[in-house]
Amino acid sequence: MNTTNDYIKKLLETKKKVINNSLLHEFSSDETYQEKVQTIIDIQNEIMANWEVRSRIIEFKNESVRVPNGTQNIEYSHTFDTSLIQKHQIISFDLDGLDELGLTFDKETGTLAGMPETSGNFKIKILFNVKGEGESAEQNEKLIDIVFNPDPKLLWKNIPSDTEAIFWKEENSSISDTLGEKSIIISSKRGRSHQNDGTFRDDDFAYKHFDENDWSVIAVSDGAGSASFSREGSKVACNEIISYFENEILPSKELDAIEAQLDEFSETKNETILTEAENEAKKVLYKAVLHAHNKINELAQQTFEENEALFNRKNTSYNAEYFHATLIVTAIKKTKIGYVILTFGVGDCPIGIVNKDKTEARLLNWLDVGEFGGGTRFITQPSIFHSKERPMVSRFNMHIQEDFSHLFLMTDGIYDPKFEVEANLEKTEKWLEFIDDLEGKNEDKIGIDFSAELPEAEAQLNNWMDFWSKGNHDDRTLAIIY
Amino acid sequence: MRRLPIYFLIDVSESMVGDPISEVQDGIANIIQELKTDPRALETVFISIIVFAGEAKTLVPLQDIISFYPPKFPVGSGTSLGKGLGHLMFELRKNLVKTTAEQKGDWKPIVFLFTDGVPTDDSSTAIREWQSNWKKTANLVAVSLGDGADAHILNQLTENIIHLKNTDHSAYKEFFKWVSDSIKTSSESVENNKSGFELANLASANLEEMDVTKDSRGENTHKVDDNFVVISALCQNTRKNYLMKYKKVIKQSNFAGIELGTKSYRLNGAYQVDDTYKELSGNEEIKLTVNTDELIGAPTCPCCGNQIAFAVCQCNQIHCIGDEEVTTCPGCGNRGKYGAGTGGFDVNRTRG
Ligand SMILES: [Zn+2]
Ligand SMILES: [Zn+2]
Repeated sequence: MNTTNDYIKKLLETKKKVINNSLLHEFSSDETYQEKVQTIIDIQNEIMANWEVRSRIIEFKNESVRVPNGTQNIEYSHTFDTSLIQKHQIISFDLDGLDELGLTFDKETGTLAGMPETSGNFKIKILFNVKGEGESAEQNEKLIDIVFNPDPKLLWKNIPSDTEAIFWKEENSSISDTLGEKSIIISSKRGRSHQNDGTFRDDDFAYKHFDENDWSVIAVSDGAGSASFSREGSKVACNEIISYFENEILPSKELDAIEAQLDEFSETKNETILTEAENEAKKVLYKAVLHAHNKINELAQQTFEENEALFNRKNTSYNAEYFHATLIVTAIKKTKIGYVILTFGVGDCPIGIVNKDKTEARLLNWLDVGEFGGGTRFITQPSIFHSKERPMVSRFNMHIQEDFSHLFLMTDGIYDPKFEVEANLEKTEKWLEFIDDLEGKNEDKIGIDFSAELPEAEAQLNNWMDFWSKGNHDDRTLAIIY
Repeated sequence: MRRLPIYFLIDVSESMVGDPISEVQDGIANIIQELKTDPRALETVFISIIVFAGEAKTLVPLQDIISFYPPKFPVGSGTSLGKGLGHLMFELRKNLVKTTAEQKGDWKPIVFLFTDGVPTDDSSTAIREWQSNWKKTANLVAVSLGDGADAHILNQLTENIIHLKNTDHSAYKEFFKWVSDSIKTSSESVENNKSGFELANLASANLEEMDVTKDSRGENTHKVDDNFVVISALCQNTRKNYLMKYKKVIKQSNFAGIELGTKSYRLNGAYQVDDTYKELSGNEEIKLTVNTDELIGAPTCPCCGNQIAFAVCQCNQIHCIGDEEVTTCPGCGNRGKYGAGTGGFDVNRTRG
């Protein structure tokens, strides 16, 4: 009765009618009008309820529902957040389109799980009903994105380099040998980056043990990635160091004279004699380095004359730029006062030594590093011979140590992933960790048994060289004297 | 491992509503898909997305490609390049890892700035800050989507200005292919110890380097983007915001031997926007109007389907009306009847 009265009054007001109270009373007392008004109110309520249901469905459809990315061939599991279900008054929730993705959905726990078989961006369908929808109501649909990433390790291709190309080089190379009382194993491998592009290994190495006077010389070089013939630059740099020792230094007996001075020092402890020996040693090594520099220049000139068309890069000022390579050299001999180790370095490849008791490590050269990669220096650059900031003489070193457990020469393909920054090369514990890693203390449990026969140790080193390191896919060269 | 940070600074002003924003949204998703096939990029490239309209916001914080989930792009009112740049510099300061003795820092970051219009704010302070603090430490590529961008302003930020001449689907597709190629070449370049910034070749006819000297508009500061008229409205039924977008057309006519151009705006579409619209819109009062005589075409309400999306209350609120006799303005609550208007009248427009 009251409801009918209120309703009709409101209707009249809306229609801007003058309200006659007795007429209004008559209408609202009439049963037929009471029924009609009730019907109107029922219909309105139904419309409102439907409106609410539709709004809930639209709201949930507009809600951003995210599931985390998965990776191909790695177990996936994600449990949906129940607060979303509550917020949108969802009464039933299911997923569709999972079969081809290799996933299943557990409605009880709200967990989506399985093994993604392929990679890519996919859609999955949420099937849902909201509060107010009947038992038999059709399920509403909402599409959401699901992303399966490829396994990054599987993306790297291994394309052989072109054997017909100028200055072609073997992709991997290794050796093992004895150096007097010590052993040496060296491995050099083409980086994944070059494998992926079918380009050449830019790293190189050379070594020789001279039986007649027991000196050993080891050279390691890293060709600049941006220089088109750096693979040859690194090769020539290493080989020319060895051949200069063989053809010039040893025949001239210069090293014998230095050794005599060191013997004298071991007896007299006369520091002046030691300094003299050191200066002489640096001069000897300097000549070898200058020789290597000149040989690359000659090669560059000759290559230019024969293949001028290949020298087409902008902003180059001399031909040897096409052969840019770093260089580290170590000449070593056991003498009366212990091991004499002469070193030279240009570029960012370290030479490190660890003492016999494995309690102390030392970096024997300093590295040319710069903030944005441009800071490194090459044996091919004339400027290194007369730089004021980085005097040539400081690149040479003579180190004497009674005995050692390991002596390492490596390119940045090893140093970057294993030491990361220059400062770590100054830390003994980092070198000891490095030895542990070499002996198998790593993710893959792959190591070198340094007491094994040489060919076996060489094979183990080759195997170890394939370690995985995210973002580090440069050529790798490592020489170990032990 | 060194990261190669890539920042996208994207104009999401109202003129981007509709096709451009979905092209950008799909384009970014495609870039990520494409980079996932390149193992080098997958391991070194990190991506962040910053959007700006009247306000700026980080849509995707700097993260690797593996964790990247394609975002939904919002729109807002205004083209505040100053706020966009300011927010970018804030993110760069916050995220960039510097090289020290103890750690290897990031490679030089690359910023792709996409804009389709002229700034509606005074961006000069932010531009000066960019010039003095970031121009050398980051590589910025400015891209004009369509003809609307101001080459003079972009040129103060970078020498690399690219013009996407057509803005149809295939042009956008080629453009985003070029962006992902540029990211790939750059990630390869950092590995070879080069500068780490190498844009791919502009092989498409739809892309060209922008010639600043040919931009005739000069260095005036524009306060409104005139290529589009965008009108913001409120749905009477759902109380949601929607935008009606009109694109400028100049009709050439010849009157008594004198060349005349009549400017008008043709309906491009009506789009519902969500709550981020308010968040991204500048809050200063704007009094810009357009006469309805200049507007061609009228949409239906994209929120509730009402037949007329373009009704104006006396409070200036634009809203939708259906066939109800009495309409309630969703802005001021006024109730009243609407009759068809005769003649043109001025309505508020946004800055675009
Ligand atoms: Zn509406
Ligand atoms: Zn109003």
